[in-house]
Amino acid sequence: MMRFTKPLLLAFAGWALMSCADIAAPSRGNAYEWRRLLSSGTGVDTFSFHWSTSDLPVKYWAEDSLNLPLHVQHGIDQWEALFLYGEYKGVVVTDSNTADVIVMTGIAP
Amino acid sequence: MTGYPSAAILACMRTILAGLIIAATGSPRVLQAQVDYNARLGLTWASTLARDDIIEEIQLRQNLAPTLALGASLPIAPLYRAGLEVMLTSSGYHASEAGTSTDLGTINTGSVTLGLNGPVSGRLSWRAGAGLLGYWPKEEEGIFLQGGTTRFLAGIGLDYRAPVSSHWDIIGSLRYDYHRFSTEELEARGFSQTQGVQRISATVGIGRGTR
Repeated sequence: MMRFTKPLLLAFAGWALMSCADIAAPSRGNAYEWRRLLSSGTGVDTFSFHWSTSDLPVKYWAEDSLNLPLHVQHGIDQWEALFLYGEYKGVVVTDSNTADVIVMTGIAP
Repeated sequence: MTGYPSAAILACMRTILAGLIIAATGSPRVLQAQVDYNARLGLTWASTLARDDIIEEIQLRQNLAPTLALGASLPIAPLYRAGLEVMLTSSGYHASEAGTSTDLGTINTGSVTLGLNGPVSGRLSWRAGAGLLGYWPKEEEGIFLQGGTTRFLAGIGLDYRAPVSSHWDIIGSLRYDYHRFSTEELEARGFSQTQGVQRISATVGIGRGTR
């Protein structure tokens, strides 16, 4: 048995040792901590908000005008594709009473 | 690693597998009698698939996966056999961040390994093999946005066979395997190197053996 097993075990151990390094994530120096700093009369105000896991999927209701529901769905798809770990998920709902976000058409300022 | 070379190796393995199946079904009785095949069910545990750091550390891991294993082997020496083993798993995977876990969907995996078996003592035998492991996500999103991936795999294991009739055995198997994981999407996002992933599976099943 040793004729086969010793070289195999050595080869396996060597391969495992040579490839011990973990995957290296890209540098994310420009991450923001869900904070937006805005100047105010009394100094700087900190606004903090993000959708927590329990809020997902974020429910959108879009006015049925100018193909808005389709555009909103496209926007949701684009945002979802940006996240690697399911940090954001959205869904278009038909009842505005259950929506977290209401999207309506308007005239550009 | 995921392109042409793995396709060539897969084609080669398919040929060997087809050979074993033909040997088991369409060859002379002498050869048929030497083919040993088994089917097993069990569970597979896998270590972290990827790590990231976005304010908090994020780890991606597979859940404990139900596993189906199929194997066939032929004798190549008085004490040794060569064979193929196919192992299929299906489980959810999730991201853990600061104590919060987010379900990310389902991954199916399939591995094909070409290996050697030999005796340890009594009813216990060892197996060592190498091959390919494919990841097939149910939904192409997140780290699998550009699809699944195929990785090289090496593993070792132990089989315990207890005869229950003149031809049939009950088999208990333990397997450990190792591969380097990444996906096209992770590479496109700037991830470098790959993550070492270890898997341990425990399965129980039946085998039609040669005695």
